[in-house]
Amino acid sequence: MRASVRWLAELSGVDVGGAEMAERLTRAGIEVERVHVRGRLENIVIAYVRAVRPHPARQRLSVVEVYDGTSSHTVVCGAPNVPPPGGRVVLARPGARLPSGLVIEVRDIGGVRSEGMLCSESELDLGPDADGIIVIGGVGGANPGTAASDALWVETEVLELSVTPNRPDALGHVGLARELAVAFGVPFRPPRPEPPPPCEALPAEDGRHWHVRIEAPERCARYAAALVPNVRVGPSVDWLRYRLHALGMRPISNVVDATNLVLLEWGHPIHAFDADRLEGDGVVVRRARPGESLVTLDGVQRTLCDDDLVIADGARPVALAGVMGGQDSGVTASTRHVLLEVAWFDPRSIRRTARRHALHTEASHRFERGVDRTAVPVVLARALERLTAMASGRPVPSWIDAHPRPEPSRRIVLRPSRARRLLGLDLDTGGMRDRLEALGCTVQPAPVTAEEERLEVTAPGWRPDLQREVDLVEELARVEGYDRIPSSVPAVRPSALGSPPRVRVERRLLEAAAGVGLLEAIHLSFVSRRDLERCRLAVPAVELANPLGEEQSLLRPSLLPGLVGAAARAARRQVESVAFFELGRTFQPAAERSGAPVERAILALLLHGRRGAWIGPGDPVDFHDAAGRLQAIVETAVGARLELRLAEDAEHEVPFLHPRRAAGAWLDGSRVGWAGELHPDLLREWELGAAAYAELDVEELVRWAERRGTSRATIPPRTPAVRRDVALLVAESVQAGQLARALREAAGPLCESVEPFDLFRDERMGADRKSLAFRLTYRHPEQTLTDLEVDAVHARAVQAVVQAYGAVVR
Amino acid sequence: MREGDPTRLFDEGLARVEGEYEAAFAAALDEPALRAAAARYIGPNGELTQLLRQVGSLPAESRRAYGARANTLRQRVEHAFEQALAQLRERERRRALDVAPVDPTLPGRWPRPGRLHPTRRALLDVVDVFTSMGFDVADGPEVDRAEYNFDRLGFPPDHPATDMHDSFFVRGGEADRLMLRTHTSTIQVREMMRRRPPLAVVAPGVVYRRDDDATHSPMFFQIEGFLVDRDVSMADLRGVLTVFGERLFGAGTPLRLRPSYFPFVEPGAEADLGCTFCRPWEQPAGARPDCRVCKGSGWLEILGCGMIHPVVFENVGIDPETWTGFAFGMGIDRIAMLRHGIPSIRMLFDNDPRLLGSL
Ligand SMILES: [Zn+2]
Repeated sequence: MRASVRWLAELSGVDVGGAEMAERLTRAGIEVERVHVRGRLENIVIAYVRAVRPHPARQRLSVVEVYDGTSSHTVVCGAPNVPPPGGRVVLARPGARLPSGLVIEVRDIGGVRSEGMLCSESELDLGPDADGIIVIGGVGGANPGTAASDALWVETEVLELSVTPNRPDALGHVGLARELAVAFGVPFRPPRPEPPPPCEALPAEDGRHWHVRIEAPERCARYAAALVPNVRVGPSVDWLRYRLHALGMRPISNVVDATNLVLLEWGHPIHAFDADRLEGDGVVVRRARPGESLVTLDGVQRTLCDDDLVIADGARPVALAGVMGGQDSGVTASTRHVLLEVAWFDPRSIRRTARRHALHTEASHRFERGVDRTAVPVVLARALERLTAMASGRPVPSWIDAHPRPEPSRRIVLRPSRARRLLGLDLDTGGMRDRLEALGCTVQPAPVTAEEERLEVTAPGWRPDLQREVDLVEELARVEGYDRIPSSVPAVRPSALGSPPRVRVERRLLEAAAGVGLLEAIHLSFVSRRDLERCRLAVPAVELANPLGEEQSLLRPSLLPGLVGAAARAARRQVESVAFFELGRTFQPAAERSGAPVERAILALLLHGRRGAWIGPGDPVDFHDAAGRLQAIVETAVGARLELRLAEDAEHEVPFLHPRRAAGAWLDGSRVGWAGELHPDLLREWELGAAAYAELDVEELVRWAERRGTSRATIPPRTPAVRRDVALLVAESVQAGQLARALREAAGPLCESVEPFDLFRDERMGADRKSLAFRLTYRHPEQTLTDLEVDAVHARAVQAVVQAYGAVVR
Repeated sequence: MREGDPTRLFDEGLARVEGEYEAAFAAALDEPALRAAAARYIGPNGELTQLLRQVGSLPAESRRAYGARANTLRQRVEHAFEQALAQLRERERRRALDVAPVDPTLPGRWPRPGRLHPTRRALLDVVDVFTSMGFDVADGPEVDRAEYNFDRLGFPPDHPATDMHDSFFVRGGEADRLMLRTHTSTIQVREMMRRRPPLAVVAPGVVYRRDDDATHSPMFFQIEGFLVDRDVSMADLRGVLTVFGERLFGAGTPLRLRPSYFPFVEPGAEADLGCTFCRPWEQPAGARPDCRVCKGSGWLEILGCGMIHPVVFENVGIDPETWTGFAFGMGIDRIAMLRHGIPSIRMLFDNDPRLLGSL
């Protein structure tokens, strides 16, 4: 919404300039985004033409001699409408800067020295006309040398407003002027033209009698119409055209411009029909019938549905009510009689229709926010006043006011004590009354009850947002100024429940993951089907009904595509090694057809390229880099050790991981995640080098942490430990964990731990064989073990794995 | 004197030790070698130790003199050993100190450390301010019913108030009008239905709107906060938000409330914090007209807030006559961008390690 500062000052009597108006309106909740300062037309003056002759060398150019009150200038001009000597024009002298930024200089044009430029409306940003220069008609005023900004009607300041949808009254200058008057504490007196007396049918010159019939009163509470006969359609006067142009509307003709002027004044849309192009003897407000269609003013043929409200004549729909008129019934240059419409349509209905037809017009914007149905007579009277002044000159004798549903009175009880408590502001009751009355409410003291003072407030028709007590409380605060609300810090009563455990677990996971050297990534939750396929994720995914595009059509069932994409992008940007983690939700379709998707918080990490080495290139990342980090994160976050086990059927369960180099991450008998190297096919698809990935189901971890509660301390023993090492030559397929478990079991309770400490492969040992060395720690809780005791137990343990796994002691 | 005369052998022994030990100690290059050399003379099985043990078997008349000689020699050997040891240690100490200086510009030997995402850090910082004031943290589903996103919050049906909330809907979820939440206010509704007042909760999370241009991302972070208790007033709202602004951006950061409209609060307000870049409240001249962050206004729009609308209380079964409360919601991404000078929200979701690692 744009507003003219000049117009607002006229209506409100507050003439403080755009900046101050903007500040006060913004403070009152009507946000002014910008103040456009226009029409600084320095060095642009009125001049009169002394002589005109054709350009000696160039066709279609003329050489014009103009006088600006002090001296003569020769100007080369290409406009077709240079007036004869004596005509007045607008001269931009050398040095002048046009609104477009163009600076006028003395130039040589085809051998003629041109000392300036004769300006068009468009060049001065006054109006849209670029076809010819401004020629000032009439007598008097504007002597040569007068500054153009004084001689021409210029909207020097325009406010660019961002009006919240609860304030339809602020979509017109009258409403804005009222806010200004209230803000500055001056009485507000808007124009209140009286309509002519109403009648049942409008007599037309051709003998017809026009009726209005509302067949859908639930959609149209009021419909006023008047017939303006014998209009002379033509261009509007300059000030009106310039004003509309400055406020972002295209001047069209005096009839249409007059209705738009009243729209901008009152915020109430008005439609003008060409009465001769309507069939029958009246208009009907009704819902469209199936199969009906209408060509709207924008030339688009629209198929209508039962939910669309239309204005129809005797034969067909002639307007999409409250949204856009029809092409066949609009005002044209040859229109003689105009039927004016001022109405109130149901906001929801207008909004649905506008959205269905993807139309957003000045009219629909206001109707869907709610116009003032009590203002219909005034708006109609104002429109008639303007129209007769600008296009007809004859007063209109009567109008039709079809008003099946008057607005129910909104009487609201306001308890001043409640307002004071809610705002923390000490306002006296008399002051409240004055403020509400200034806003247009009527206020009466309610019958006194035993304990509490009450005011009975009736809200004005232009404020549909005032519905209950709390709305009035906001008005009081708004008028008083939110700045006056004091500051107090409340005592927050802490809850026994506190934050849920997952909040703490997630926080610790985040910190732990950053602690093991991972950069946190945050991706959009959207993913494409194709990227899922490229990640070998053949899983069902939640589909969006209205995605922004194919690339973002699904909700991610896994964090993998985001992280792989980030690694691939980084590699293209020459960052060949990265270590990312992400903690976010994944989405799976509901088990039942219509239920909500299952959301799971997942922590995933992706390592690409080489492991960080101290100086020099590290080795390519592998399974153990991902697994180790996952274990470290979980241990830091919740004090649990994840166990990694080869998947039974990795190919099937985790198709995005290398089938031989992936493992499940287990915690107390439940699988809570995966770790592994990414599948070679996936790496090739994304053009990645070595990459390892791990993921953890945070929900499972939270459940585990809740179940576990607080962990118990292990008291360190006082007796000394005895250590024994053993190196075993085994087949590749034998896992360290298997050997360790077997050693531990065979060694019995004296064995405290078995840790692998060396892994070694050598051709001489034969292919498919490896040497694994373990350190076993023996301890008795109460007494010191002797070497002899330990040797016996250790020998038994070694013997057991030699037998069980065909190991050779090295 | 005859062969095997004990005194002669004793003499020879003493002479040998006396003649050798200094050279032997001098030849030892390190402490173990020196100790081994010393042990040859004065260790438990050392030559001199054995001689001393034999003093008792010498003829009585020479016993005393030999004993004295052997003891004197032992003292000299011990002294020489200590001196040699001290010299050796001094030499080693000098060697330990006299090395090339380190190059401290080489990277430390530790995996390159990780970092939290700038948005995450902003989010955690904001959460911390409110938890320190006694607020709990809550969360809720990202895919939710329109009932929680709009209806129970008092959004009128077919109303332009939803224009700011252009929503994504889930295919197949039409019956429940399943959508991606457009704000974290869904959690306000859910928490008020789950728990009874008094309530003080903040709820961070991602939200989704169908906007995608240079200044909008279809997903972004928000944090919702609300306090419900007896007699909560708008003054309390101003107080809590003032503390928030000062904790996050420094003491003295001013707060401004402007009337605004959100269907679920009344009175509703937009809260601006003093521009944290040109800090007009610290400058005699006020806001810098050329400040690119606040564009000369001196204020930054940070959050929307207000008193919880009675209709919301009614929709969740809380009596609005007994309980009042305030609510606020703010974008987190913007705070991260302001803090770090990140020009575009889209950079926050691009996850370029060069940007993430620089913050
Ligand atoms: Zn600034």
